[in-house]
Amino acid sequence: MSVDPRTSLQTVEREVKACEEFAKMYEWDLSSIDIEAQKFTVTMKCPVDDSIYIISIQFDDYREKPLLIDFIDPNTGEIGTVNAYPGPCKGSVGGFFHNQGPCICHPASRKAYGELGGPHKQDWDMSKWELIPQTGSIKDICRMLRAIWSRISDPEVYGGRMHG
Amino acid sequence: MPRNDNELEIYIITGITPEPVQRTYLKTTKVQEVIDDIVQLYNLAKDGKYKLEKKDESGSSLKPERPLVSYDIKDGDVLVFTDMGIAV
Repeated sequence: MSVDPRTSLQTVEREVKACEEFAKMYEWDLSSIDIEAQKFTVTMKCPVDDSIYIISIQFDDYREKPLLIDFIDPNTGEIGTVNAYPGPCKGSVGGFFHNQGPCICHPASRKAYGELGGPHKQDWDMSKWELIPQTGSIKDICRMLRAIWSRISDPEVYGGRMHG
Repeated sequence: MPRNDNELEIYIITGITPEPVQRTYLKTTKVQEVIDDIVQLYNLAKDGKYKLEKKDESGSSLKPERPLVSYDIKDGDVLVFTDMGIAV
């Protein structure tokens, strides 16, 4: 399956616009969209320990496929390293940031699927990501970013930076 | 019709609709009950993880077992409801 890049771009532009107020409220820094590479970044400063988290969002074939979400190490610029990620959350809210991959372990995160080395090999069907029960309401860019923020901005939940 | 003095009219930003949703609760309503109300209102997953915060106090989740009045929440106040994502 393949989504016309123009369609994906229009969807992403709409979803990013819907995020503007939250970005302003939480002081996220949204990069401009690299149209050719079909990606952009969102930089968040964790208010708990001032750590910088740079989220890379790639949107080829979106929304047929979920977003390819990764983190970029703010010190080295490497993408997808353990040190780039927030660590597992404290308390009952559990994982979400998974060290296998590493990845955001959620159906709305392409990297969570076995095809890309994620922990979910047979139980999740990427082509039906929006219908997987664990997706919940996190079905667009803004809600994913807010979910990430909710886990790094709360001292009772934030587990620090992931370590190898 | 004037509201009961024991009630609060607040606005909740969910991101599900462009505008905050207006809700009225008793002052003694627990935070968890507000969360449950939003979950039901928008037919969200009952086993999801959600949090409620005051709009200008990001990172400070309201504790589910506490009543709204214990946070000095007043008429017109704005809360933010967030789906934290089901951790799997």
